[in-house]
Amino acid sequence: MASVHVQVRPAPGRLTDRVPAQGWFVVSAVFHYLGPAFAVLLFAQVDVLGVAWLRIATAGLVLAVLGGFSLSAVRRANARAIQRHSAALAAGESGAIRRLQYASLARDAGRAGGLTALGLACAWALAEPVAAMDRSTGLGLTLVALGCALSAAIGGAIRSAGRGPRLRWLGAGALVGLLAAALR
Amino acid sequence: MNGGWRAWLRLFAVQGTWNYERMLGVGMGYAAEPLLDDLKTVDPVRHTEAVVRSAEFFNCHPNLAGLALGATARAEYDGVPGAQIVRLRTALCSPLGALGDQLFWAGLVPLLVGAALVAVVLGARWWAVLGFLLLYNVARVATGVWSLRTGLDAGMSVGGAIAKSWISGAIERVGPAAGFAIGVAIPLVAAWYLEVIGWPGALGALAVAATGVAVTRWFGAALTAVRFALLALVLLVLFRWVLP
Repeated sequence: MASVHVQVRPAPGRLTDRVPAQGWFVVSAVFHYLGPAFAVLLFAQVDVLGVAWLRIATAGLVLAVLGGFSLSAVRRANARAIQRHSAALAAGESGAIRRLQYASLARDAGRAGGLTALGLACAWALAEPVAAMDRSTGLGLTLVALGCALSAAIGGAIRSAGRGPRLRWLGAGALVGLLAAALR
Repeated sequence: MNGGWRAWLRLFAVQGTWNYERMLGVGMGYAAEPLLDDLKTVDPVRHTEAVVRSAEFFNCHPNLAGLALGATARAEYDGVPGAQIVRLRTALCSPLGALGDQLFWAGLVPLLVGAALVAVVLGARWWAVLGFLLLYNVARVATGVWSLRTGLDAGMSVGGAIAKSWISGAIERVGPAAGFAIGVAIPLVAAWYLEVIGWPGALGALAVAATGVAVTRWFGAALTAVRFALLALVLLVLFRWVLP
């Protein structure tokens, strides 16, 4: 029988086990009152457009953070499932491999569906305030969005080109692109 | 040995069980199952050992995983000692990862994306997107079929087969072409978008872009493009707040 190396990590002390229930109640109660209190102060200071911007930034932040976080969570869940089935894998059970694969695909599909639903919910929540923006704020948003997209594209292209001949080809292409843009 | 087409289909989901311990291992085991089925009737003990080996740690580029899958399956049928097969799998991880990354992620994908963007600006619109999807998937499917066949034919001498194959030549050509295509696409697409907001707005957007490139290069991983975008949005909120 071939040797199988399965790395089994000791279960870390979970925060939910270490903190008493009363602690969670206190934290929850404090934030339930502090949150609305800060919101009332904020809405007195920030106008409708400011709130819209805060919503946009928050939605972007939530999606950007959750995208990476959820992928990592799915991979950790896959590893835990493999650890649970390590004996079956060591015994060469094809059925265990199939079950692990299908369960992991289902997890990934759930993640994709959840993120898509969250993105659509954010878009739905933002549609009204964005439509109510004045012209200069809309122009500002367009300007910042285009600038950031361009910055990400240029930065990514330079980084992936490295310092070899590919960078020279990138530069030559940019010259051709500028020429084509001027002639359009 | 049967089950080649089923194994090839299963390779599309080879990253399904990706995790931090075995990486592609279980996905490879899932794809190997149809190939190893015939071994069950010939040598059941060897079949069990082969199934265990097939799901052990493995990692490489998913589009070239067929090379390792085919080679190890062939080696199992050829009666190669198990330890040697494990060494072959380990030895294939890094080269297949590096070759696949250069060929696809740093080569074919940016080349086709750049070409599609240029075509969109020049008027092809949705046809460009469809063309991109078609070309990329044809290349991906053809590479998958080739890699599994090559692995199955070569067995333990898969290293030599890879060295003699078209891959290194393609990488040499596709890298510069990708750089050129992206280089052409960025100014064309930027001008296409910026012409809508006029010269003052375009200069403002270019200033934001220049600042973004400079600060993300300066701060490195601490300030990614996403973080810079969020920072710029917050600054805009503050600006609108101070000067309503």
